[in-house]
Amino acid sequence: MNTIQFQPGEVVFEENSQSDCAYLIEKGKFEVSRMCNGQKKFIGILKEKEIFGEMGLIDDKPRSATVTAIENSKVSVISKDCFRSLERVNPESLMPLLRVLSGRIRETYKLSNHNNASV
Amino acid sequence: MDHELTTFYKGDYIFLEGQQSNCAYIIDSGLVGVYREDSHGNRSLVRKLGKNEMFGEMGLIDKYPRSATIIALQDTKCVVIDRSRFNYLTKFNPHFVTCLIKSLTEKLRTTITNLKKAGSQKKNNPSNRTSLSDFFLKKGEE
Repeated sequence: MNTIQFQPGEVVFEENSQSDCAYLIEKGKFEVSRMCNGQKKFIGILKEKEIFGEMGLIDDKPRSATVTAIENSKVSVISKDCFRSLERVNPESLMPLLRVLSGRIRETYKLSNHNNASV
Repeated sequence: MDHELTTFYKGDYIFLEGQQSNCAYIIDSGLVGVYREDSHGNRSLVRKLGKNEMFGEMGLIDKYPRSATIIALQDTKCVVIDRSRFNYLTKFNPHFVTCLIKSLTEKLRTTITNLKKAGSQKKNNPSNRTSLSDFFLKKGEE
């Protein structure tokens, strides 16, 4: 897997850009933000060992948020090819990804409960 | 799939929110409703699932209790995948893992979309900072 270094302030990807890979944080921290009525809205921090960008890798939809480095950081790039070959050769190795997705779904459910949303 | 099918009749509860998870289901025919309770205990229909769709897989992945109640809306036949079968499939069947990932991603996108919709309908509520914040903020696992 390729690794990429980021300086504080460098953008990994922008909201709505095309997705072709996911990232695993080896070192550092990243900010997640979204544009809301023309203003940047901070929505979270990602830390070491976390994966991001995986949804786009799977379903080819545009990025749902912007991710920016806030420290000197390093990520491993999980390309589509790498993902497909893992899927083929060693499907079990994708279980951590399944757990991440599952965790995010549960947290989003909680959010919708919190907001009393009728989803 | 050449697995044994289990039949649920219209109105049957397949499982309840909060129960321990011990199997996943793939619908061979029929229709089920996914119901979730809000913080006041009111149960509402979240979505419907039909042929070839999967449910109940999250509990097998992360071992947490059921996040929803599933009720058969029609007579429904399902392939039931218990934990040992699930473990076997995730080890040796790439296609199964691909289906799992797609199913989860779709679920997540649907939930985010619904959240955003709910958020834009409740603009006056300042505590309603919907967005992606919480699901990006993974709670320090490992």
